[in-house]
Amino acid sequence: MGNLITFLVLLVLGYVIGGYLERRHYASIRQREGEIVSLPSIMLKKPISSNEPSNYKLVTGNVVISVDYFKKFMASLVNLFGGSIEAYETLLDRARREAILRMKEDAKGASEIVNIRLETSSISTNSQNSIGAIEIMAYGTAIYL
Amino acid sequence: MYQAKLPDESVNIPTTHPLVGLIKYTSIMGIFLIVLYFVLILSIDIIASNITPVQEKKIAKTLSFDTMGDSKKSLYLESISKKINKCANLPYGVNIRYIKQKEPNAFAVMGGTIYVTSGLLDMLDSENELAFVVGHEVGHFKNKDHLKQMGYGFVLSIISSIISNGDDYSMQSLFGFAQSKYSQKAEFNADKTGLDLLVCSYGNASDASKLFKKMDKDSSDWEYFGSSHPSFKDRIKSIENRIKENHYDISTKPLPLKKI
Repeated sequence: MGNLITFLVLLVLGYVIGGYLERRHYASIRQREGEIVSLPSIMLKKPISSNEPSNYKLVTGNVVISVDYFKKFMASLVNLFGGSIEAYETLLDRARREAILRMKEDAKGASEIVNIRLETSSISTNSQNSIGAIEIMAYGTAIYL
Repeated sequence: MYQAKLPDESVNIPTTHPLVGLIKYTSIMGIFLIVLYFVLILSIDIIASNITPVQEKKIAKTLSFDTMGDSKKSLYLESISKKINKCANLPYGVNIRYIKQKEPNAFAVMGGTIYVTSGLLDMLDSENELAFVVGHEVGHFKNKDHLKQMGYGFVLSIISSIISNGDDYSMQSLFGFAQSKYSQKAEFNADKTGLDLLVCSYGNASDASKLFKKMDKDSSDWEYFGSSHPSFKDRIKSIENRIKENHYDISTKPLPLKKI
């Protein structure tokens, strides 16, 4: 009985607070993406502009977002049957966009960012009690004209 | 020509509400587990009812339980169980073991062995009370509850290991809850058999519910919600109803307990 209550409290906590934080994060991502959309960021090795750059800079953005209890529970349920874990998909989406945003914010004043790469690192999976977090790093070369 | 574009959110963000997924998957899992649970419980009931005493002894040999205590008390207990067993017509003899333990308790295990704790003996005032306790445990043997209970424990462990793989310890307690209904029914039945055996071997039903009345004082009702045993109040009621229905004699003075 005590277990059940603990579980339900954690589930509701994860759903309500985790959901609220996710909505807030998305709102922030959308707003910042709109502000910074004009900065070209591509994965090509060569710049779009043919002008000779005045400076280059390695720009990075990294993010670690933890899963909430609700998402974890959903994942463990889907884990029994197979199928896409949609609860984690939004997490990945947020992490990827946030990492790119941070990288772009690191490139203030640049005319473009080229050769962007995305990588996942793993702090949490190596720890003994895996806490379940998504870690994404985006990096590229900012070009200043 | 480069044109700035915002990400298309319909591609990577799932459109279904997270709660829809939760309801979908928990209901699939729930239905599967409930079906599995009932199938297993049913098969345990069938197996337990069909196990012969010889088979039971064989299985009991593979399990070992600690036996200890003093022999004088054991002998006294043994003499009571013999009286009870004459009426019970069990296909095997019943052994009684005495355990030094404060917690008042008595339980029946495979192979016809009943364990009684010193805490329980200390609470007793008359031999009738003790005979009812022994009768209750013999009732479990008659109804094959000890085998069923073992089987149910096995089923629960299977189901909880399925669930714990999914990291969800809540369902374990849910099934424990479902289990309690069955086991409470078994306790009521064992009480009835115990009462009948007491009347059969002692000629009266005096003091049948006295022990429960004493134990009821130390407990509160909410403890029994979802528990394997029904509340003492309900058990006392059920015993007294049966005494009335069958016109059992409760006016005879109960036999005193031998103080050893």
